[in-house]
This record gives sequence, structure tokens and C-alpha cells, in this order.
Amino acid sequence: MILAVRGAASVRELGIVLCGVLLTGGLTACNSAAIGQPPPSTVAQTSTSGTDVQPFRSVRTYTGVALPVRLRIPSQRINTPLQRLGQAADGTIAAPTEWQVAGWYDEGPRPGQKGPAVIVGHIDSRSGPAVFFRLPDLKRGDAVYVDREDGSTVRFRVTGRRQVAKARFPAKAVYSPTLRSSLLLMTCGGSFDQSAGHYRDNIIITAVPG
Amino acid sequence: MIGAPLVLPAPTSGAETALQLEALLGHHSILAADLMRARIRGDADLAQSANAALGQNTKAMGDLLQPVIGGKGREQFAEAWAEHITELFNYARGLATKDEAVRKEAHEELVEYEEDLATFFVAQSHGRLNQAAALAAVREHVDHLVEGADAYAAKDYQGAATMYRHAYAHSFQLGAALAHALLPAKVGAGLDSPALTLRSSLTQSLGEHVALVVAAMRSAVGDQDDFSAMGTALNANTLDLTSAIDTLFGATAAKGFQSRWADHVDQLMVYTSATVKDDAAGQQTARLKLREFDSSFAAFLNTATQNRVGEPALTQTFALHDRMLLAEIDAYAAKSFQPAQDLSQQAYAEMFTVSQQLSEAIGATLGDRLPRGGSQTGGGGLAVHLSGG
Repeated sequence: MILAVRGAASVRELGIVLCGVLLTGGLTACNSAAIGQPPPSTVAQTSTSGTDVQPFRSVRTYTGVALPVRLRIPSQRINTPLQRLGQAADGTIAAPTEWQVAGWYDEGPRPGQKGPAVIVGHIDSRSGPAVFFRLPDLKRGDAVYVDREDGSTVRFRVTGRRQVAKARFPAKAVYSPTLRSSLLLMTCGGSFDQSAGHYRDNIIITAVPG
Repeated sequence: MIGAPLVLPAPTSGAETALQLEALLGHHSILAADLMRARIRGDADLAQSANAALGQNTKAMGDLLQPVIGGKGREQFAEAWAEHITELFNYARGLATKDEAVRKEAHEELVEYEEDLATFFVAQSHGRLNQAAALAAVREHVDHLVEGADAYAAKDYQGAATMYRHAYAHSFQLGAALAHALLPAKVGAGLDSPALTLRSSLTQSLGEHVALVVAAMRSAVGDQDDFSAMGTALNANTLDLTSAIDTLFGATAAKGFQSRWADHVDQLMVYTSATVKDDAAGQQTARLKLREFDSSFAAFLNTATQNRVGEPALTQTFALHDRMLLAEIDAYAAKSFQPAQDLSQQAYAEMFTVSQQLSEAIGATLGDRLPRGGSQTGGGGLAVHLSGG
């Protein structure tokens, strides 16, 4: 039964805890007699007027996360250098200029930095598979590696996959700033709109460091 | 008003309840660690003030949760929660007195209360939380505090400071998990939105700043052996905040932020040093430099958020932050521990409000710059293969 107070450790000194925590309606009513025989305070002994305190200096250097240069996903045999991408004229993330090369959206966080980093790649070209052809086959737990300009590598593990219609793309939910590190891998999916020359959906793989 | 105990505003929504639960659990973690450290050092007065604050914190969590767990559930929660605090204290007592039997018995009791608390949360979760997950979450919370106390008693102050931070960070995760489990499902579904997670992260980092700067200032006044380790932890928090600014506003802004923030923290420590030395002129110099920080930092954030936060109001907010921290260290140095505790709690609570203001302004500012839709990343050559289209 959860309400049972167990243990024989409630010696006089414990009165201090019980009076503070259990009497939730009248905490200030605790009196020092409940404390029993407390040990002497060390604060009084060490806080000596007229003496200096130990030195402290705030950190004033900061090294940001290096730029991503390569994406590797061994389970799907994806291994690609990364272009830097901005926004297209219509406000969407610009597509990579090469079918077989993925791109990192450089107006957002870098992979491994706090926040959602975005990497996009084509699923196919006009004639065959492209760099992210196998991206939709990623499974939860699969490893994703991003190599960075300074020689470091950050490892992610896949946590989810979703397919969303471009016509109702949840841009705020996908791109809005957070301070939780994640990686979004995005490509096309769904049916192909011949008149527009585009797929109707996007496939988004989410991954977190680890 | 400076000097009143911690009071968070009454929650106006389920999301607000969730965020307050995270913040209260974070504060619980800090206070519990402070209680255990004070007991290990034999600092009875500080232990008593931390304990009183833990009582207030438990009551605040009960008030917050009562609408969802009911009056009886609140009683069960408060009692089990109080008992786990009692056993944390007993554990520290066993370490302090080198009484292995006391330490071991307290640990055994903690393990039982972990199971009781997990069972309670599962029963209140409407099937959204299973026993194994609940037990793992509660156990991790207790383990962080116990391991931190072990390290502190062994004079491994860097290790203890690391656990201090881990315990605090995990409390926010525990709060989020409990909010998902205890609050109505429709509330839980919205808790992972970017706006709320941004606010939660800012609350966590800014609250940790208050906790660590208070701990470092007190350690300096007490000339404690853990001062260097708390300073290292404080700098790690500064780097966390700097990397947050990097994510939100870029590397150049991050460096500008760090310079100002470092000035702020350094002047708080200069003030502490002057207080210890009874150096009124030194205190006044630090006060004036902090005022420079207040206006400079407010201008910096107001510019970054395109005038969304209001520079004068933000200057006042930071000035209040400084005044509370300086008054806290004045009270602590004068051995007025209860007022000092109230002030540190109030400074912690203020960060909850600041993070709301900042996260809303940041979200609105950066929202204007987000990409507008998905990516056009297919040539269509394999459309038949991919979709049958």
C-alpha cells in the first residue's frame, strides 16, 4: 500500500525532513527542536570575512558544430557528399542540383547541433534511381552517419518515417526551431503528377543522435 | 515581490500544466541534491532550508496535479513523494556518518518507493504508461541523486556536479513523460510541438543557470571544496545557452551572446567575492556593471527578435533577475538561509516566465524565415515503379 510509511530510519534528525515535506500546508511551522542534534554548520566556519574567494572565470570561447560534408547510411548503401542548399524562389528548400548528391539546408541547424537539421535528396532522376531511392526503406533504429568538415562524425538512429502530401505540408511542425537535436531526411514519394512534373508527397525520415 | 517564496502562475491550459510540472520536477531535483549535499557537509541550517523548500515544491506539484489525479490521488502522491525525499535524506545521513547500515537501509527503502511511485503513476495514466517504463523513469531519477551524493561524499566534486546536471536534465524528461501519461490524451498530443519543446528547453537551461549560479555563489561564500566543480558546471550551462543561440540566430550572434552572458556571470561572482570581503565599493561596482549587462543584453535579444520582446521591459526583467541573485547571496552570507532559499526559488520561477516570453518572440521571428513547403526531389523516371503512377 503506497501510503504506508516504512523503515525504521526515522530518528530524531529525520524530523527535519518530515516537518518540511509532509506538512505541506504549514511548512513554516517547523521548529528547530524537531531537528534534534544537528551537526555543526561548516558555512559558519569557512565564510570568513575579509578573505578572498576562490577564483572563477566564465568560459569565453565557443566552437560551433562543424559543417556537414557527407551522409552515410550503410543499411541502404547510401554514401553521398553534401551540397549546401538554400531556399528556392517559391520558399521551399531548393532541390540538389545533382541526382546522385544529397544536400543540407544551410539556413537551418547543422547535423548534431541543437535543433532539426534537414538533408534532402532526389528519389529518382528522369531515367533511374537517384541518391535517396532507398531512403523510404529505412527502419527504426537504423544508423545514419554525417561526416563533418573538421573530421568528426555524428551518428543518428532512425526514430520514424512519415509520408505527407506536399499540398498540405506541415512546414511549421517540421521546420520550426527547437533546441533538441534531430536529423530530418527528406525525399519525394507517393504518386507522380505528370502535369506538374513532381511527386505529390514527401517522405520524411526522422532520426536523433545516438 | 522579492523575498516571497516560489509561486508559478496558475496554469491556464494542459500544456501549461505540463511545462510547470517539468519545471517543478527540475527544482525538486536541485533541492534534493542540495539537501543531500548539505547533510553530507554537516550543514544543518542549509539542509533545513532546502527541506522546507522541498515541502513547498511537493505541495506545488500536488496543487498542479490535483485536477487530474483527484484529491485522494494527490494525498497518495504527496505521501509517497515525501517518503522518497525522506529516504534520500537518510541515504545522505548514512554517507555523512559513514553508517553503512543506515545508507543501505535507505537505499532499500528508495527501491521500494520507486516501485510504489511507478505503480501510482501507472494507475493514474489511463493505460498510457506501463510499469516497466514508469519504474525505469523513477529509478533513473533516484539513481542520479544517489550517485551524485556518493560522488560528493567521496569528494569527487566534478563527478557530483555532472550528476547534479544529469539529475536536473532528467527531471524535465520525467516531467514530460508524466505529463503525457497523466494529462488528457489531447493535451499530450500537443506537447511535442516545436513551440512547446522550445519553451521547455529554454526553461530548463535558464532555470539551470539560476540553480548553478546560486550553488556556485554559495560555495564561494562557504569556501567549499566543490566550488571549482560548480564553476565548471556553470560554464557548461553557459556553453549550452550559447549553442542554443547559435541554433536560433547563428554563430556570430552566439559569440555576442556568450560575451555578454560571461560578463553577467563574472560580475555575480565578483559581487560574491566583494560580499565575502565586506567590500561595499566592490559590491557597488559589480552592481553597476550588471546594470550595463541588463541593458546590453536586452538590446541584443530585442534586436535578434526584431523588437518583439520590448527592450525596456526586458531590461527590467534582467534587472530583477540580478537583484534577486544579489539579495540571495546577501542573505546567504548573513546566514539568513530561509530568505536566501525563497529568493533562489523566486529567481528560478522568474526564468519560467522569461522563457515563455523569449520562446514566443523567437518562434514568431524565426517562423517568418522557415521554408514554406516540402522538397521537389524526384525526376519521375521511376514513378511507375515507386507508386504505380
